[in-house]
Amino acid sequence: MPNQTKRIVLTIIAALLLLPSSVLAHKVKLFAAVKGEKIEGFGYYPGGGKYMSSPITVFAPTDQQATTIHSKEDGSFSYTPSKRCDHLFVIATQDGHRAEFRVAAASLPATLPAAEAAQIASPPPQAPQLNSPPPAAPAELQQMIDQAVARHIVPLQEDIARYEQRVRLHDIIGGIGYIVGLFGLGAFVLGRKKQG
Amino acid sequence: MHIADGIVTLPVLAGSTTLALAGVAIGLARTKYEQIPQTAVLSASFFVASLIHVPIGPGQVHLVLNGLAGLILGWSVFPALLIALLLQAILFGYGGVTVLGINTLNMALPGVICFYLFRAVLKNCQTRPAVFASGFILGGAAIAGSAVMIAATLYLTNQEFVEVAGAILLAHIPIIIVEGAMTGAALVFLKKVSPQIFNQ
Repeated sequence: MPNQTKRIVLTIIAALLLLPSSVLAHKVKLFAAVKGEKIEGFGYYPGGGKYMSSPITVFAPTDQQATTIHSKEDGSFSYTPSKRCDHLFVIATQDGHRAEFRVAAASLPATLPAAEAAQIASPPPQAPQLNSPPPAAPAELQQMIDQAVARHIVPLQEDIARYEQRVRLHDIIGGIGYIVGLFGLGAFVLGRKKQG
Repeated sequence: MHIADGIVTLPVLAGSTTLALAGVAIGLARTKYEQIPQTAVLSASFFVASLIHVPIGPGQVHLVLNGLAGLILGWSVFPALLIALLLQAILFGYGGVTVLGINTLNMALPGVICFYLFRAVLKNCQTRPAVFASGFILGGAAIAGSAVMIAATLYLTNQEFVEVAGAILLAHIPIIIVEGAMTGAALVFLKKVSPQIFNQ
């Protein structure tokens, strides 16, 4: 029997080696970030393909109903939030894939009206007490800072999203380790039963 | 090949999960001590094979190996694929933990059916082309079976998916061919080096 198992292993390794080693994912992904007063993002199929001209559902806790927006031909979409609350973007493709992305309320511009529940809790934004007077009106300045920070951070967020969906070798090896371990445990239990 | 979390309705989810659990129970009861290494190896192969994606045309294909696994393992293919799918869901986000039952059923059941349909055929095949041809049909049929089951799952969830179900079947044609060729080649090799596998 061990000989037979060894042969199966060799057969399968040979079969796998015949394939190109490009490890790509097989699902739909979604990315969104705040840019100015809008939430912009894009949907894509990792390893190729854009989520073109397809629906994306937006859930905001304060809205009674979910809104449906459509992505453009390059897979990108843009949504203008009306409240400062968490927004959940969901893609559900008809072939059974699904992706979601949450944009936290904190990353939305402070100029937006807060969600009703939060309105009571948080006091209206106040200008920080500085020794020298601020160079611009606080709200305007805040918006400028937000936009500048977003411009630098968004590419980084995109990189992180891309990095996270990569299939990594140590995960594959870890998975094989789990399989060996679990079946080893099974063999151990069955072996004891056989003896006893 | 994988259906994701949050797509199917509760009755479909419950029904498929129950059937998958029954399959796993039968599989565990029938797995003999001597078969454990084989089951582990095929579980690991399925786990790795479906992570390697080859772009063909607009889409990508990956091997599934459920026909090969089903032929060699019989009912044990259920626990083998369950573990591999669980790890794929946890480590890579393919499919999902709540839809584990559906994905296991959709991929393992065609394997078990192939076991009953092709076992005797392959035992009696003597020439290399005959083994390859049987393997090709077996590998392709297992994928086609899975594609039909996925289409049926989506159809039961939402009847508007009927067009999509057709598209899913079409999209699987390249995979059917690749998988068939790979299964055929693997079986030719196994028949040569280890023919007793087919006599168990």
